Amino acid sequence: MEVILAGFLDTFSLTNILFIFLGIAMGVFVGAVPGLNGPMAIALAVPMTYYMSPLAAIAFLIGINKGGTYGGSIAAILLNTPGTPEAAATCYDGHPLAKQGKGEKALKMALYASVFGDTFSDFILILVAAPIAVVALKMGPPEILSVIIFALTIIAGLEAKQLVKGLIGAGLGIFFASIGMDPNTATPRLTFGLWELENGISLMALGIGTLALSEVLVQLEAKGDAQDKIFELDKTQKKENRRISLREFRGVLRTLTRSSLIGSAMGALPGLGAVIASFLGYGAAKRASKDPDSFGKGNIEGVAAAEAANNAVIGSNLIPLFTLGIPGNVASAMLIGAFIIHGVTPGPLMFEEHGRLVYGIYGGMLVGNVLNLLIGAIGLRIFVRVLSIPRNIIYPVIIFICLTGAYIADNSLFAVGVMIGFAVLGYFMKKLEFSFVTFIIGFVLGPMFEMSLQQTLIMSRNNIFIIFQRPIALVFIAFTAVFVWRVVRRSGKTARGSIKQRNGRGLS
Amino acid sequence: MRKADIITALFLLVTGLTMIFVIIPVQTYPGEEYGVPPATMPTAAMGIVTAMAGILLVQRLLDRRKTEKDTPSPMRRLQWLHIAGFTALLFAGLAAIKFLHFIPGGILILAVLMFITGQRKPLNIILVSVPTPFLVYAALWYGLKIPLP
Repeated sequence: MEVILAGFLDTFSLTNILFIFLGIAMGVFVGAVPGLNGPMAIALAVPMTYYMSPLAAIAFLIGINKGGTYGGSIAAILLNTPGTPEAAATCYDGHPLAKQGKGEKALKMALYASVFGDTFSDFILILVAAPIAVVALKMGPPEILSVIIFALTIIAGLEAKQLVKGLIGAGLGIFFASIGMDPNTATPRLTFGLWELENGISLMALGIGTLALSEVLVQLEAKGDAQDKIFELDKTQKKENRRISLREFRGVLRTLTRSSLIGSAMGALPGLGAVIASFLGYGAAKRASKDPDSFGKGNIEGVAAAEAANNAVIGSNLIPLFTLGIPGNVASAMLIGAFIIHGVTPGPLMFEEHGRLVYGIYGGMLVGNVLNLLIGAIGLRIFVRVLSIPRNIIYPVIIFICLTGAYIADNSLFAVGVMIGFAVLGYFMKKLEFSFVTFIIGFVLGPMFEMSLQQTLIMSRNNIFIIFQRPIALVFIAFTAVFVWRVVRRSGKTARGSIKQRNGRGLS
Repeated sequence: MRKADIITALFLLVTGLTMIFVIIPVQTYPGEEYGVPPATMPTAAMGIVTAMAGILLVQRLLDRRKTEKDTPSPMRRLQWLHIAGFTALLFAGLAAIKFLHFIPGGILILAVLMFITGQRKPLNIILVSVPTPFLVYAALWYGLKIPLP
């Protein structure tokens, strides 16, 4: 109990609150610009956290994620272009509301729904993580190995358009993770005689390259600097078109709770991210509505449903990270980098070894929600202005920050070169529809996978089939097999459907 | 997209096989009897890549649908020029930081990038490219004590 209280109290230092504030403001700013998103900003910000305290660093990064997810709704509502992928469902009703002159009302609902979903999911994390960690502590290397195989397969199957491409991404990620020192023999592996590679490839260089710089390279392909039509906030509108009344908020409370539950459930499973959650939340609200036809035409409930669901992913996404050390998405993968920088290994032992930090992070997340609400409400008009910054100013600055970030991550220009190399690889992966998410998660899980495999083989005297003899491991392997079978069956059905359709067209 | 997938799969297949049979054995020390030999992980990872690339290739070759009209190739001449140009520019930026140091190199990179991405107003270029490296340098050096070149 003392640890819990001390952890929560740590959050309330001025420095920590300042960094959470900065993180959220930075996240909303980045999220508001179409093409930029939270994980990208986290990748860029991790090197800056080197000299912060562990709590300030993690709370700052989680603040970016929170702000970024909400920030995506600003462009979705005012531009009809989602600022972040997870805000795509917000466009359906948010933009029609902006067209009706109710942009400010939609933005406020997006903010309240985001904070509601976020807080809901944070409480789920706080309640669930520690008990799961206790169970996780009883898992041995074969169980961990089976969980990693399960997580990688699920992420590959759900993130990529095709399981095959997802697995190629994961394989490449594990391959790049194997560069450096071999953990068993302590001999250099695939370093090509370069001493800079002996410590392995820096996660930050890889993250900044594949997440941030490659995305900017893709965005820069868009011709010219044509700004889309922005629906400005109209101050002359009636109060009811600019505000959310308590009655209106009560009216969407059921939707908010439903979406938050959906988002939290999606976030807790690796691979099922905020994008799926927001569409599921939106779909569920539409099905449950008495007036489903009004959805897509400017129903405020649609904004609430999508935003609560996508923000509810943020907290619960940390459940697999905190309890098993497995990142459920790219943002968590980047957080692993930050944890490692500060000498903390995410996983069940974290509750024992760094309990105070864990509860400090929980406190930071809750404070972050309050700050998100304040920053969003006060700075709404400022963040709307972000949409009008020309791309030929914002993208060059981001490229420059990418170069700087990669340098400070490793204190070497070699890391900058590596980052540029991964940016090019990320560009091709995005263009050719290979999953860069499985690539990054494969890279993060690679060393853990190798370690579990080593330990499993050593403890079983080179008998890999031990994973079929341990009940928990067997359950995860069975889940993996069922998942693969379902994905293969589904793609077979889709292929047969297209052939039938083609033959039908050919006959007619 | 089908053609692009075939070329990519072929490239991955050849790269994977080269890695497994040539590069990994040369670049790893022979294993010990205890535990997993150093070559196991990279070989297994490349094995997954190669096997999946093989499946992708077979899938696309068997897929006789002409999808070219529906989904055009994502990499055309313009895209190749775009990525080649930016890669060259970024490595030139890296060299600029190395030889001119952070602030002058940063100003140069920003100014060139802004010009290339379509900013034609000299005042805008100066107003963004000059203070940004100074601000970043000051924030990192004086604020967070992070040394920069």
